[in-house]
Amino acid sequence: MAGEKDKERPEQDPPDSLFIEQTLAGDDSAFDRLIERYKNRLYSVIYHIVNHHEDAYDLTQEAFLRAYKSLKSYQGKANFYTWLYRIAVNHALNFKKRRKDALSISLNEFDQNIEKDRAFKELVVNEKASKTLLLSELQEKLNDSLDKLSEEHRAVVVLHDVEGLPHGEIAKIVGCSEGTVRSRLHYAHLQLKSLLANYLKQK
Amino acid sequence: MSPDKARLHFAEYRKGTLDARTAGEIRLLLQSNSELMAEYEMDGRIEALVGLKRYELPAEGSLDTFAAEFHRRRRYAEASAESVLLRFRDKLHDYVLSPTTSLLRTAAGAAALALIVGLSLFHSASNHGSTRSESAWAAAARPHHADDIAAVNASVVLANNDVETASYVLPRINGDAGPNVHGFSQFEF
Repeated sequence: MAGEKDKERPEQDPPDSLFIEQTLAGDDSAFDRLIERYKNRLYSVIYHIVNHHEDAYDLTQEAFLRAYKSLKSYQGKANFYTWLYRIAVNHALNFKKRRKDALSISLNEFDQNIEKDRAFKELVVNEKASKTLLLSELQEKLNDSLDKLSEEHRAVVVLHDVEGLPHGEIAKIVGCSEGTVRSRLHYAHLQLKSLLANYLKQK
Repeated sequence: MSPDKARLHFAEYRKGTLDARTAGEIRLLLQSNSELMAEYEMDGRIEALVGLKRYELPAEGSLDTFAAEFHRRRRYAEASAESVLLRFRDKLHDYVLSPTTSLLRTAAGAAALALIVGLSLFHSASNHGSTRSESAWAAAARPHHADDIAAVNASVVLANNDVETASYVLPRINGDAGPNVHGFSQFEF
């Protein structure tokens, strides 16, 4: 049951499987450990799909609730995080489809470490503009561009470019073949190329 | 390998996750095709630019009481499901025992009632966790966790301020405006 994500944690951290067994045995505090372990990453991926704080928070809560209710059906074939991601991404995509016409965006703060990122220095930094303005413009442009993609393309872009997941794992999460993931990523990038043209010019 | 096929593998080639043979074919294509090389570099810039979104952070403290809020919502969901089944069962019970109901309808009603009772039992059995031993309504109605109590206290303090300020600040304190927006707050006080 312990998958690749389990390997990323320090040796002393118990595997997800232990907390799952304890939860199924009636110990709710064990599920709290899973929540603490994954809430930030799950919130992050949902936020990048829906682009709204409160919606992302609610959807993350609901994703955990769905996972909790169907924990018995989790058979450990995929690692727990992939299973959880799948629930969350599907839930967020369904939400986006239902709310297609009611587009609203709320923006998050940026981590200050963005200034050290090479891509930020090369593609975004402009000596004439203030940092705050650059960040808010960038965020608006990125969110606006991603919102123009179809839900399926957006999910693949978020999972690959933002979350850094490999094609195989993305395929399991969105429920398609690796070839489809490659194709969606390629076409999404082609679309983003024109939408983000101002940032992509050689400086 | 055709340029079209190579394009689909750009991301994996960049990450070095392709097998040696495929990676070699793409390397040769890129060396011999300057247009494809330009596309490859552009693809990398797009990925890096979109990747900057990972620096976005949730509002400070917004996920601090996440687990406590999760359990509050869970208890509420369990209580709601239980309530719907109970109400339907009571209505059916009244219908079946009514003197004006025909024999055929009584039989149908009794079958439905049996189904509902069965579902209720199944629902109770499938609720794993600490709420099994107590009324789910009672569990939903009171804060169980220290964080719950802190969140309720914060809500009470904010409720004494003007409405505009409270509705703006609440999401940051409670971590979310959701439950208040969706009417969950009636169970808090």
